[in-house]
Amino acid sequence: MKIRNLIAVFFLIVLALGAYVYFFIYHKAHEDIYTAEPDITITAEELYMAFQEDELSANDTYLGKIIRVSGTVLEVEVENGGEISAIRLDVGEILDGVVCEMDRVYLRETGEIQPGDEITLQGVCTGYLEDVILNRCGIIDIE
Amino acid sequence: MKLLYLTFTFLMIGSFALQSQNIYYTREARIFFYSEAPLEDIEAHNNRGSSVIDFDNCEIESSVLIRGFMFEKSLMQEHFNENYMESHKYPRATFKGTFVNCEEITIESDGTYPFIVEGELEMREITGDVIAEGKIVVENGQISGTAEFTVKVADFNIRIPALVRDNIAREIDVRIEADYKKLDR
Repeated sequence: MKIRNLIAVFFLIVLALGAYVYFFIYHKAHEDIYTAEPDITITAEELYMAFQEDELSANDTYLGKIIRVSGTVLEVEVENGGEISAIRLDVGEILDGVVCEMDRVYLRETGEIQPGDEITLQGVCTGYLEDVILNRCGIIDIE
Repeated sequence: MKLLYLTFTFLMIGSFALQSQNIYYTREARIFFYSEAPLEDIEAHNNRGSSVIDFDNCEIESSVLIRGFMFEKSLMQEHFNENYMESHKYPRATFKGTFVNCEEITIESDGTYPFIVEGELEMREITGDVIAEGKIVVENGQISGTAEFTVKVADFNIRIPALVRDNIAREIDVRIEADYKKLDR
């Protein structure tokens, strides 16, 4: 009797562990970047300069981190449906800058954004490819 | 450093195009890859691919940040970056190629132009040969393109642990879609 109970409990524990792994690890949700605490807060110009000056070192510091970046809107990229797909921030360069690709996992209202607006965005730094590119971006503040 | 960078940027464009009038580019190429395996299908996409085509010299170059690939499953994205691609060490993938049938692609006229590109893909500091098939579509003077090719995982020193061998394909299908803008000189 006792052994049978023990075996039943054992199986239940294994089942519970399995369910935990399945739901909370294997199928864990993407972190909501917008509501997370940023790893680094910085201006668009500073971020761009960091990658320009020493990309290797900047990769170590910023790659994969949640960055809260502030700057002036240079350009707003809009999709066919009118949703904002990306926001380009001014770093004083003609061609290049900081680009924030907006989050599609957690969609947020973006409202009206115009070039020249002072804006603070939060996203994950993916690296440097002519622009410093962040993705999963959300808008923290607009002035 | 800024001067060096500016020089590099212009050299990159210049290296294509000392005489070229037909350079098209995008920084919003959409790159998708698919892995079909017995246990699982994996897909990921990246919306910030960079691509430059020189139609005079028949050359194409595309680059993408590995960290920019987005997966439905968070855990898969972590494994992709940390274990398989080691994107902190190798943040980019770059493809360079030549159009085999360049004379057939006449961008002055609207139309659909199938193509084959032979080139090299560089990832993880390893270069492998790639042949891509696709088409260039010219509509109302606007140029867009799609291309497809496969990548053999083993060619790039990507080690798949035995435990997940049936979850990840040996050959990954890659598809690129891009709308190009003309580089004004």
